Amino acid sequence: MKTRILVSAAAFLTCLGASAMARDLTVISWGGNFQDAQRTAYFAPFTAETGVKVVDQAWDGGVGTLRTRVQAGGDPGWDVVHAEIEELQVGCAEGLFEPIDWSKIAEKDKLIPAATSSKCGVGAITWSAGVAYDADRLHSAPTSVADFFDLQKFPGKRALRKGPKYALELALEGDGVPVDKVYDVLRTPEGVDRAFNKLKSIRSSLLFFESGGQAIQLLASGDASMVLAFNGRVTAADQTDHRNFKFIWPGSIYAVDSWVILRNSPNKDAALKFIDFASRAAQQKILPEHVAYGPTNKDATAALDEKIAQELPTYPKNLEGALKIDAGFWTDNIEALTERFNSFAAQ
Amino acid sequence: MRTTRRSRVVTAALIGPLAAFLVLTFVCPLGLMLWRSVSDLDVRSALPRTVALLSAWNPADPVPDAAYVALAADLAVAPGDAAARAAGRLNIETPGLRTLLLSAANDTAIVRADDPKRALLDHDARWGMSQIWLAIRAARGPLTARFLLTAFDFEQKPDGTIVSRASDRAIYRAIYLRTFSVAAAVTAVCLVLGLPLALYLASLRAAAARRLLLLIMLPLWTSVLVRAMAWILILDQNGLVNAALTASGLVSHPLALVFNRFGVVVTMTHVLLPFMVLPIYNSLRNVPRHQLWAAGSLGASPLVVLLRIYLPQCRAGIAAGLILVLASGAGYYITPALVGGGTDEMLGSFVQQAAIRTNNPGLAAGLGVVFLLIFAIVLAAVGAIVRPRPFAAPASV
Repeated sequence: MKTRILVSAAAFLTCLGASAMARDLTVISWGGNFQDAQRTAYFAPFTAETGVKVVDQAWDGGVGTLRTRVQAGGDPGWDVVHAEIEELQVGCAEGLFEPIDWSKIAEKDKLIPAATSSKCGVGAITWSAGVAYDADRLHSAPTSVADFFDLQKFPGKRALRKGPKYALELALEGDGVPVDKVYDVLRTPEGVDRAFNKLKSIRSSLLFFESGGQAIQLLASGDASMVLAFNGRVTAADQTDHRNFKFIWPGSIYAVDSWVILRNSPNKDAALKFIDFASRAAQQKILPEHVAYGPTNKDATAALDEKIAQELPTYPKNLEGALKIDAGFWTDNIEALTERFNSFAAQ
Repeated sequence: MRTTRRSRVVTAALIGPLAAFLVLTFVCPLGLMLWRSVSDLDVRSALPRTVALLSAWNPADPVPDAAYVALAADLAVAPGDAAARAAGRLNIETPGLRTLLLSAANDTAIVRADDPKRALLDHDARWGMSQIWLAIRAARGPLTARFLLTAFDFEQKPDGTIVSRASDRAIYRAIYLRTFSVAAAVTAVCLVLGLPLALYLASLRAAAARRLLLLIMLPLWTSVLVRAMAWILILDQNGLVNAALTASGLVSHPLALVFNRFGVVVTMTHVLLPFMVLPIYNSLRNVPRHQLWAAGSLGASPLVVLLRIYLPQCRAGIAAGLILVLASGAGYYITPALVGGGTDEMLGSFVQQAAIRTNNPGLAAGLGVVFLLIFAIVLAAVGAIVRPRPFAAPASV
């Protein structure tokens, strides 16, 4: 009896002790084949070089998720997060992120201007969101965003990410608004109505997904004939799964994602070291070999093979007709338009 | 048997910890949710002087200069977190107000200016617009009906009248209906499938019954997400079911079995069937066997025995099964979101979006309160209909 009490007391105390240990550096990214590529280019080499263990998990975006973690106080649970541009700006304005100590980022001067413009985040990749389709299933190939909304010529379901970002821009482009006027039109109430009406015209054939990987899955299984997808995942699916997916570059929307550090993270120093590591040209040029996203380090871009460079959003031919995301617009309007989009999706 | 005082104290001490646990984990969160659905303190706590001034302001008059002074004074001392929360709260109704307020808070020239009005107007001309000040006034709190009204698809106009929201924004009433329809459909299918299964299970001997019980409970051991994904694979265009149907020639091209309500009902039934079977099985086991034999020997056919003697005695079990499945099913939102393709979303999705994604915990709480009320009524109705009724004593023979 006495030994039983002693053993259970010892077990109990060990559990207490274990929970009091510091947690590993936790890096959050977008999952799927993109995160697999990041593991090869950043997480594993970082652990190999510094010995710091990296635990990587996935998320689906939304500054509210970060807000909930930081405003709860104490340890937010996540250290480094790969955030989209308006998440960076809104989070920075609300004080959700630790300011970046730029003196610790060794190759700061080699980064593109868009990667160093915020005091809360370091630019990580340039990616593009646009219409993707399976060339094996669609006999006549769609060539523009307007084809996404043409259910007669290209039958089958469509899939969009659940949220107004990219969906509203695509809707206006599909309705004939030239790329350089999209945000001007979107800033007017009539423009927003026009975008929603265009989306309503295909509502019955519309599916919604939360994570980037789901878009590729819907395309692969044939549940959707055209989807909004991220270009890197499309080329990765072609490479690793031997698919024949194609991405429509004109009308695609590109942006720069950034690494941010959540406020009150207990692993701040390790987080900054990781971000410095991930900003080096030597590491950044490994990523495009696995997933076609553009590096933010100019030396890395210059060192890339021509074949790989052709698939990147930053390749000059791919930039023709592409739309740069307007972060200021989304910082102001993300909540109101998300509410309206949810109403639209719920009907 | 009269309970002595001592035994009463002992009883109280024994159930004390349980009562405390229930209060802490059940009553307190419910109370907090009710409070959150009517409280509006973000702006009031960050900008107290401004709110006090604007409460006294008549909206028909122009914006008083004192409001600018009060705002500058508030921004000077507001902690960063509080200012961010207030800015986020205001941005919900007035897009753009977040960046406006936070950039003013970070601008030291405003905070230390002798003429705050001039400084604010120089910073951004929008501070001269009465809409901005009306928006701050509307969020002054401490209580607001806004969230509960929105949860019922109403809104309050600036002059105080309550009207229904525009049809493209009024979605919540339809969502309650949809959530209950799906939950009711799942409950009905579970009853139709679960009742015969429970009857069969009750007729087996103990050892065989245990084995079958284990199989029935197997779905509960796997992760909810794994089950949802498995059903997507089975019901997909090229999945098992469609492959079998097209190969056997029963259909010419694959049916749409997933990413619609059919897939949602199938998946949720798979998950919730054990909750229907187990309570019914439990109450069936408690019916004395000799009653059934006696009825048979008196000339009742098996159907009559089932309908007039066996089933009526397990009303409690059926009621428990119905309520369990209905309650669980109405709360599900992850499985329907995955299997339904994001088109047929249930109330839980909207609560999660409001609470976490769009930074509107008041609305999330409001939706929760309304759902709680509706569900309490539905539960009372189900309970009243299926309540076990005492058998009338037979007249003396």
